[in-house]
Amino acid sequence: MIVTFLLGWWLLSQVDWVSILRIKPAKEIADEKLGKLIFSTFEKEVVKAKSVTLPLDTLKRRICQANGIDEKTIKLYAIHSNEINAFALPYGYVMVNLGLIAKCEDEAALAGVLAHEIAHIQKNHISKKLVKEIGAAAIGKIILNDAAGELLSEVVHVVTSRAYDRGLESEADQLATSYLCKAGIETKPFAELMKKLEKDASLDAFKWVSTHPDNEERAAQITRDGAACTNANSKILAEPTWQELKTKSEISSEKNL
Amino acid sequence: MIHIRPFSYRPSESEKEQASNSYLMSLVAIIAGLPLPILNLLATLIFYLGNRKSTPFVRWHCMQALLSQLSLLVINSITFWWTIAILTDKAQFSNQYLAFVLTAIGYNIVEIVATIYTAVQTRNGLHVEWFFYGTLTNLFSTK
Repeated sequence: MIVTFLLGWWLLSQVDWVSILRIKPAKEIADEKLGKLIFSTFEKEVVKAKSVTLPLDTLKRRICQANGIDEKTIKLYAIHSNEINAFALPYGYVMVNLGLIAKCEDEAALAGVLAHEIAHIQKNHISKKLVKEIGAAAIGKIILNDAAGELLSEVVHVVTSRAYDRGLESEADQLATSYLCKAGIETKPFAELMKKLEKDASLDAFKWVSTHPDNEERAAQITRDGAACTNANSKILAEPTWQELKTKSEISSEKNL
Repeated sequence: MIHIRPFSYRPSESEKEQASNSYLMSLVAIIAGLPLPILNLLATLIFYLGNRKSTPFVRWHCMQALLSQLSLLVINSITFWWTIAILTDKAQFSNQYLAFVLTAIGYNIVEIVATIYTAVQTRNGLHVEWFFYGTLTNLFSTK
Protein backbone atom coordinates (compact mmCIF):
# COMPACT_ATOMS: atom_id res chain seq x y z
CA MET A 1 0.00 0.00 0.00
CA ILE A 2 2.82 2.34 0.94
CA VAL A 3 4.65 1.48 -2.25
CA THR A 4 1.50 2.16 -4.29
CA PHE A 5 1.05 5.49 -2.55
CA LEU A 6 4.68 6.51 -3.05
CA LEU A 7 4.60 5.43 -6.67
CA GLY A 8 1.42 7.42 -7.26
CA TRP A 9 2.96 10.45 -5.55
CA TRP A 10 6.15 10.20 -7.59
CA LEU A 11 4.24 9.88 -10.86
CA LEU A 12 2.03 12.88 -10.13
CA SER A 13 5.08 14.93 -9.04
CA GLN A 14 6.44 14.68 -12.57
CA VAL A 15 3.64 16.97 -13.76
CA ASP A 16 4.32 20.71 -13.56
CA TRP A 17 1.08 21.58 -11.76
CA VAL A 18 2.26 25.06 -10.78
CA SER A 19 2.63 26.07 -14.44
CA ILE A 20 -0.47 24.26 -15.67
CA LEU A 21 -2.68 25.76 -13.00
CA ARG A 22 -0.76 29.08 -13.13
CA ILE A 23 -0.46 29.13 -9.39
CA LYS A 24 1.31 32.04 -7.81
CA PRO A 25 2.34 32.01 -4.18
CA ALA A 26 -0.01 34.12 -2.06
CA LYS A 27 2.90 36.38 -1.15
CA GLU A 28 3.60 37.07 -4.82
CA ILE A 29 -0.05 37.96 -5.42
CA ALA A 30 0.00 40.28 -2.39
CA ASP A 31 3.25 41.93 -3.51
CA GLU A 32 1.85 42.47 -7.00
CA LYS A 33 -1.33 44.06 -5.74
CA LEU A 34 0.45 46.27 -3.21
CA GLY A 35 3.16 47.30 -5.64
CA LYS A 36 0.62 48.30 -8.30
CA LEU A 37 -1.46 50.19 -5.74
CA ILE A 38 1.51 52.23 -4.52
CA PHE A 39 2.78 52.78 -8.07
CA SER A 40 -0.61 54.17 -9.08
CA THR A 41 -0.01 57.08 -6.69
CA PHE A 42 3.12 58.03 -8.69
CA GLU A 43 1.83 57.30 -12.17
CA LYS A 44 1.07 60.92 -13.04
CA GLU A 45 4.64 61.94 -12.24
CA VAL A 46 6.35 59.25 -14.32
CA VAL A 47 8.77 60.59 -16.92
CA LYS A 48 7.97 59.40 -20.41
CA ALA A 49 10.76 61.13 -22.36
CA LYS A 50 12.88 58.55 -24.16
CA SER A 51 16.01 60.59 -23.49
CA VAL A 52 15.50 59.60 -19.82
CA THR A 53 13.85 56.18 -20.01
CA LEU A 54 16.17 54.59 -22.56
CA PRO A 55 19.47 55.28 -20.76
CA LEU A 56 17.94 54.15 -17.47
CA ASP A 57 16.79 50.92 -19.11
CA THR A 58 20.27 50.42 -20.55
CA LEU A 59 21.84 50.72 -17.10
CA LYS A 60 19.22 48.41 -15.62
CA ARG A 61 19.77 45.86 -18.38
CA ARG A 62 23.52 45.84 -17.81
CA ILE A 63 23.12 45.24 -14.07
CA CYS A 64 20.42 42.59 -14.50
CA GLN A 65 22.08 40.65 -17.32
CA ALA A 66 25.43 40.52 -15.54
CA ASN A 67 23.77 39.19 -12.38
CA GLY A 68 21.26 36.74 -13.78
CA ILE A 69 18.27 38.86 -12.77
CA ASP A 70 15.22 38.70 -15.02
CA GLU A 71 14.95 42.27 -16.36
CA LYS A 72 11.19 42.03 -16.63
CA THR A 73 10.91 41.68 -12.86
CA ILE A 74 12.50 45.11 -12.34
CA LYS A 75 10.21 47.94 -13.42
CA LEU A 76 12.30 51.12 -13.48
CA TYR A 77 10.71 54.56 -13.69
CA ALA A 78 11.97 58.12 -13.39
CA ILE A 79 9.79 60.58 -11.48
CA HIS A 80 9.37 64.31 -12.02
CA SER A 81 10.67 65.41 -8.65
CA ASN A 82 13.57 67.58 -7.50
CA GLU A 83 13.97 65.50 -4.35
CA ILE A 84 17.25 63.64 -4.24
CA ASN A 85 15.65 60.26 -3.75
CA ALA A 86 15.23 56.78 -5.18
CA PHE A 87 13.18 53.99 -3.68
CA ALA A 88 11.91 50.51 -4.31
CA LEU A 89 8.32 49.33 -4.12
CA PRO A 90 6.88 45.82 -3.81
CA TYR A 91 6.61 43.82 -7.04
CA GLY A 92 9.92 45.06 -8.41
CA TYR A 93 9.24 48.75 -8.98
CA VAL A 94 12.26 51.06 -8.74
CA MET A 95 11.54 54.76 -8.73
CA VAL A 96 14.30 57.32 -9.30
CA ASN A 97 13.70 61.03 -8.94
CA LEU A 98 15.14 63.33 -11.61
CA GLY A 99 16.62 65.33 -8.75
CA LEU A 100 18.87 62.39 -7.88
CA ILE A 101 19.87 61.74 -11.48
CA ALA A 102 20.86 65.40 -11.77
CA LYS A 103 23.14 65.02 -8.75
CA CYS A 104 25.06 62.05 -10.17
CA GLU A 105 28.45 62.98 -11.57
CA ASP A 106 28.55 59.98 -13.88
CA GLU A 107 26.62 56.92 -14.96
CA ALA A 108 28.44 54.66 -12.50
CA ALA A 109 27.07 56.65 -9.56
CA LEU A 110 23.54 56.35 -10.94
CA ALA A 111 24.13 52.65 -11.64
CA GLY A 112 25.14 52.29 -7.99
CA VAL A 113 21.85 53.77 -6.82
CA LEU A 114 19.91 51.47 -9.17
CA ALA A 115 21.93 48.45 -8.04
CA HIS A 116 21.21 49.35 -4.42
CA GLU A 117 17.46 49.52 -4.98
CA ILE A 118 17.51 46.33 -7.08
CA ALA A 119 19.32 44.64 -4.19
CA HIS A 120 16.52 45.67 -1.81
CA ILE A 121 14.02 44.05 -4.20
CA GLN A 122 16.03 40.85 -4.65
CA LYS A 123 16.37 40.46 -0.90
CA ASN A 124 12.68 41.22 -0.31
CA HIS A 125 13.50 44.08 2.07
CA ILE A 126 10.48 46.18 1.10
CA SER A 127 7.94 43.66 2.38
CA LYS A 128 9.96 43.17 5.55
CA LYS A 129 10.06 46.93 6.13
CA LEU A 130 6.35 47.39 5.47
CA VAL A 131 5.36 44.54 7.78
CA LYS A 132 7.65 45.92 10.49
CA GLU A 133 6.52 49.56 10.18
CA ILE A 134 2.87 49.14 9.35
CA GLY A 135 1.97 45.58 10.28
CA ALA A 136 0.82 42.58 8.34
CA ALA A 137 -2.84 43.15 9.20
CA ALA A 138 -2.81 46.69 7.84
CA ILE A 139 -1.04 45.55 4.67
CA GLY A 140 -3.65 42.83 4.27
CA LYS A 141 -6.40 45.42 4.67
CA ILE A 142 -4.92 47.59 1.91
CA ILE A 143 -4.57 44.61 -0.42
CA LEU A 144 -8.07 43.33 0.22
CA ASN A 145 -9.88 46.67 0.25
CA ASP A 146 -7.91 48.58 -2.38
CA ALA A 147 -7.76 51.18 0.40
CA ALA A 148 -6.89 54.56 -1.04
CA GLY A 149 -7.14 56.33 2.29
CA GLU A 150 -4.84 56.98 5.18
CA LEU A 151 -3.33 53.51 5.25
CA LEU A 152 -2.11 53.73 1.66
CA SER A 153 -0.66 57.20 2.32
CA GLU A 154 1.20 55.77 5.29
CA VAL A 155 2.57 52.95 3.13
CA VAL A 156 3.72 55.46 0.48
CA HIS A 157 5.40 57.51 3.21
CA VAL A 158 7.19 54.44 4.57
CA VAL A 159 8.56 53.29 1.21
CA THR A 160 9.67 56.76 0.13
CA SER A 161 10.86 58.27 3.37
CA ARG A 162 11.75 55.82 6.08
CA ALA A 163 15.10 54.10 6.24
CA TYR A 164 15.53 50.37 6.30
CA ASP A 165 17.29 49.10 9.39
CA ARG A 166 21.06 49.12 9.34
CA GLY A 167 21.33 45.41 8.70
CA LEU A 168 19.17 45.57 5.59
CA GLU A 169 20.98 48.65 4.26
CA SER A 170 24.32 46.97 4.76
CA GLU A 171 23.07 43.86 2.98
CA ALA A 172 21.77 45.95 0.07
CA ASP A 173 25.08 47.84 -0.14
CA GLN A 174 27.12 44.64 -0.25
CA LEU A 175 24.89 43.11 -2.87
CA ALA A 176 24.84 46.32 -4.92
CA THR A 177 28.65 46.41 -4.87
CA SER A 178 28.69 42.82 -6.07
CA TYR A 179 26.18 43.64 -8.83
CA LEU A 180 28.28 46.59 -10.01
CA CYS A 181 31.40 44.51 -9.95
CA LYS A 182 29.91 41.73 -12.05
CA ALA A 183 28.51 44.30 -14.46
CA GLY A 184 31.98 45.79 -14.88
CA ILE A 185 30.88 49.13 -13.38
CA GLU A 186 33.13 51.11 -11.06
CA THR A 187 31.96 51.17 -7.47
CA LYS A 188 33.91 54.24 -6.38
CA PRO A 189 31.54 56.79 -7.98
CA PHE A 190 28.66 55.32 -5.96
CA ALA A 191 30.65 55.70 -2.74
CA GLU A 192 31.63 59.23 -3.78
CA LEU A 193 28.00 60.12 -4.45
CA MET A 194 27.03 59.11 -0.93
CA LYS A 195 29.83 61.10 0.62
CA LYS A 196 28.98 64.10 -1.56
CA LEU A 197 25.29 64.02 -0.68
CA GLU A 198 26.14 63.68 3.02
CA LYS A 199 28.30 66.80 2.84
CA ASP A 200 25.80 68.89 0.90
CA ALA A 201 22.72 67.69 2.72
CA SER A 202 19.90 70.02 3.58
CA LEU A 203 16.77 68.50 5.07
CA ASP A 204 14.18 68.97 2.36
CA ALA A 205 15.91 68.26 -0.93
CA PHE A 206 18.23 65.46 0.07
CA LYS A 207 15.76 62.84 1.09
CA TRP A 208 17.88 59.91 -0.11
CA VAL A 209 20.51 60.98 2.38
CA SER A 210 18.14 61.36 5.28
CA THR A 211 16.57 57.99 4.53
CA HIS A 212 19.99 56.36 4.22
CA PRO A 213 21.87 57.37 7.33
CA ASP A 214 25.53 56.78 8.16
CA ASN A 215 26.51 57.45 4.57
CA GLU A 216 30.16 58.10 5.39
CA GLU A 217 30.45 54.69 6.98
CA ARG A 218 28.54 53.06 4.15
CA ALA A 219 30.65 54.83 1.53
CA ALA A 220 33.76 53.52 3.27
CA GLN A 221 32.33 49.98 3.30
CA ILE A 222 31.43 50.16 -0.40
CA THR A 223 34.95 51.38 -1.17
CA ARG A 224 36.40 48.46 0.80
CA ASP A 225 34.07 45.88 -0.82
CA GLY A 226 34.66 47.34 -4.25
CA ALA A 227 38.47 47.37 -3.91
CA ALA A 228 38.68 43.75 -5.03
CA CYS A 229 36.77 44.63 -8.16
CA THR A 230 39.25 45.19 -10.96
CA ASN A 231 37.20 44.51 -14.04
CA ALA A 232 35.47 47.87 -14.41
CA ASN A 233 35.57 48.48 -18.12
CA SER A 234 34.30 51.01 -20.58
CA LYS A 235 31.30 53.22 -20.17
CA ILE A 236 27.82 51.82 -20.67
CA LEU A 237 26.20 54.94 -22.11
CA ALA A 238 27.62 57.08 -24.86
CA GLU A 239 28.76 60.44 -23.50
CA PRO A 240 26.12 62.46 -25.42
CA THR A 241 23.40 60.13 -24.09
CA TRP A 242 24.59 60.57 -20.51
CA GLN A 243 24.85 64.35 -20.90
CA GLU A 244 21.37 64.56 -22.37
CA LEU A 245 20.00 62.50 -19.48
CA LYS A 246 21.71 64.71 -16.93
CA THR A 247 20.65 67.94 -18.61
CA LYS A 248 17.06 66.78 -18.93
CA SER A 249 17.06 65.78 -15.26
CA GLU A 250 18.52 69.13 -14.17
CA ILE A 251 16.01 71.14 -16.20
CA SER A 252 13.04 69.08 -15.07
CA SER A 253 14.06 69.12 -11.43
CA GLU A 254 14.59 72.87 -11.52
CA LYS A 255 11.12 73.35 -13.02
CA ASN A 256 9.78 71.33 -10.14
CA LEU A 257 11.22 73.71 -7.51
CA MET B 1 -7.57 -5.81 -3.32
CA ILE B 2 -10.63 -7.06 -1.41
CA HIS B 3 -11.37 -10.77 -0.91
CA ILE B 4 -14.44 -12.46 0.41
CA ARG B 5 -13.39 -15.50 2.37
CA PRO B 6 -15.19 -17.96 4.58
CA PHE B 7 -15.06 -17.21 8.30
CA SER B 8 -14.67 -19.92 10.91
CA TYR B 9 -18.37 -19.75 11.73
CA ARG B 10 -21.60 -18.15 10.57
CA PRO B 11 -22.14 -14.87 12.48
CA SER B 12 -25.47 -13.91 14.04
CA GLU B 13 -27.51 -10.86 13.04
CA SER B 14 -26.24 -8.73 15.91
CA GLU B 15 -22.66 -9.70 15.13
CA LYS B 16 -23.12 -8.72 11.50
CA GLU B 17 -24.49 -5.36 12.60
CA GLN B 18 -21.69 -4.69 15.11
CA ALA B 19 -18.98 -5.67 12.63
CA SER B 20 -20.51 -3.45 9.96
CA ASN B 21 -20.68 -0.51 12.37
CA SER B 22 -16.93 -0.70 12.97
CA TYR B 23 -16.39 0.41 9.37
CA LEU B 24 -19.03 3.09 9.63
CA MET B 25 -17.18 4.60 12.61
CA SER B 26 -14.34 5.60 10.33
CA LEU B 27 -16.78 7.58 8.21
CA VAL B 28 -18.17 9.43 11.23
CA ALA B 29 -15.63 12.24 11.15
CA ILE B 30 -16.07 12.80 7.42
CA ILE B 31 -19.86 12.89 7.82
CA ALA B 32 -19.43 15.39 10.65
CA GLY B 33 -17.35 17.52 8.29
CA LEU B 34 -14.30 17.64 10.52
CA PRO B 35 -10.91 18.11 8.87
CA LEU B 36 -8.65 16.68 11.56
CA PRO B 37 -7.24 13.34 10.42
CA ILE B 38 -7.01 11.83 13.90
CA LEU B 39 -10.76 11.87 14.53
CA ASN B 40 -11.38 8.94 12.14
CA LEU B 41 -8.82 6.89 14.01
CA LEU B 42 -10.14 7.87 17.42
CA ALA B 43 -13.70 6.92 16.50
CA THR B 44 -12.55 3.52 15.19
CA LEU B 45 -10.27 3.00 18.23
CA ILE B 46 -13.04 3.76 20.70
CA PHE B 47 -15.34 1.34 18.88
CA TYR B 48 -12.62 -1.34 18.91
CA LEU B 49 -11.96 -0.85 22.63
CA GLY B 50 -15.66 -1.15 23.29
CA ASN B 51 -15.81 -4.46 21.40
CA ARG B 52 -12.54 -6.03 22.50
CA LYS B 53 -14.35 -8.74 24.40
CA SER B 54 -16.95 -9.34 21.77
CA THR B 55 -17.23 -12.32 19.43
CA PRO B 56 -14.36 -13.24 17.04
CA PHE B 57 -16.20 -11.97 13.95
CA VAL B 58 -16.84 -8.56 15.51
CA ARG B 59 -13.33 -8.33 16.97
CA TRP B 60 -11.73 -9.25 13.66
CA HIS B 61 -13.55 -6.57 11.70
CA CYS B 62 -13.02 -3.93 14.39
CA MET B 63 -9.30 -4.68 14.17
CA GLN B 64 -9.26 -4.50 10.36
CA ALA B 65 -11.15 -1.20 10.44
CA LEU B 66 -8.69 0.17 13.00
CA LEU B 67 -5.54 -0.92 11.15
CA SER B 68 -6.77 0.50 7.85
CA GLN B 69 -7.10 3.89 9.56
CA LEU B 70 -3.45 3.98 10.65
CA SER B 71 -1.91 4.56 7.23
CA LEU B 72 -4.68 7.02 6.46
CA LEU B 73 -3.79 8.87 9.66
CA VAL B 74 -0.18 9.22 8.57
CA ILE B 75 -1.06 10.37 5.05
CA ASN B 76 -3.79 12.78 6.12
CA SER B 77 -1.68 14.21 8.94
CA ILE B 78 1.17 14.95 6.54
CA THR B 79 -1.30 16.59 4.14
CA PHE B 80 -2.84 18.66 6.92
CA TRP B 81 0.40 19.95 8.43
CA TRP B 82 2.02 20.55 5.04
CA THR B 83 -1.00 22.69 4.11
CA ILE B 84 -0.74 24.62 7.37
CA ALA B 85 2.97 25.20 6.69
CA ILE B 86 2.16 26.65 3.26
CA LEU B 87 -0.62 28.85 4.63
CA THR B 88 1.70 30.21 7.33
CA ASP B 89 4.48 30.79 4.79
CA LYS B 90 6.80 28.20 6.30
CA ALA B 91 6.75 26.18 3.08
CA GLN B 92 6.23 26.88 -0.60
CA PHE B 93 3.39 25.64 -2.75
CA SER B 94 5.08 23.14 -5.05
CA ASN B 95 4.41 20.36 -7.55
CA GLN B 96 5.37 17.82 -4.87
CA TYR B 97 2.78 19.25 -2.48
CA LEU B 98 -0.01 19.20 -5.05
CA ALA B 99 0.96 15.69 -6.15
CA PHE B 100 0.84 14.56 -2.50
CA VAL B 101 -2.56 16.15 -1.98
CA LEU B 102 -3.95 14.53 -5.15
CA THR B 103 -2.55 11.13 -4.18
CA ALA B 104 -3.93 11.52 -0.66
CA ILE B 105 -7.36 12.45 -2.03
CA GLY B 106 -7.26 9.41 -4.30
CA TYR B 107 -6.21 7.22 -1.39
CA ASN B 108 -9.03 8.58 0.77
CA ILE B 109 -11.60 8.02 -1.97
CA VAL B 110 -10.47 4.42 -2.43
CA GLU B 111 -10.59 3.97 1.35
CA ILE B 112 -14.12 5.40 1.61
CA VAL B 113 -15.42 3.26 -1.24
CA ALA B 114 -13.77 0.16 0.20
CA THR B 115 -15.11 0.98 3.66
CA ILE B 116 -18.70 1.40 2.46
CA TYR B 117 -18.46 -1.77 0.37
CA THR B 118 -17.06 -3.73 3.29
CA ALA B 119 -19.68 -2.34 5.68
CA VAL B 120 -22.45 -3.51 3.34
CA GLN B 121 -20.91 -6.94 2.76
CA THR B 122 -20.22 -7.46 6.45
CA ARG B 123 -23.80 -6.52 7.28
CA ASN B 124 -24.79 -9.36 4.95
CA GLY B 125 -22.62 -11.75 6.94
CA LEU B 126 -19.77 -12.00 4.44
CA HIS B 127 -16.21 -12.00 5.72
CA VAL B 128 -14.26 -9.37 3.76
CA GLU B 129 -10.49 -9.31 3.93
CA TRP B 130 -8.60 -6.35 2.54
CA PHE B 131 -5.26 -6.62 0.80
CA PHE B 132 -2.47 -6.14 3.36
CA TYR B 133 -4.77 -5.09 6.25
CA GLY B 134 -6.53 -8.44 6.21
CA THR B 135 -3.21 -10.24 6.52
CA LEU B 136 -2.15 -7.89 9.32
CA THR B 137 -5.42 -8.44 11.14
CA ASN B 138 -4.99 -12.20 10.88
CA LEU B 139 -1.61 -11.81 12.56
CA PHE B 140 -2.96 -9.79 15.46
CA SER B 141 -6.27 -11.45 16.13
CA THR B 142 -7.52 -14.90 17.06
CA LYS B 143 -10.57 -16.14 15.18
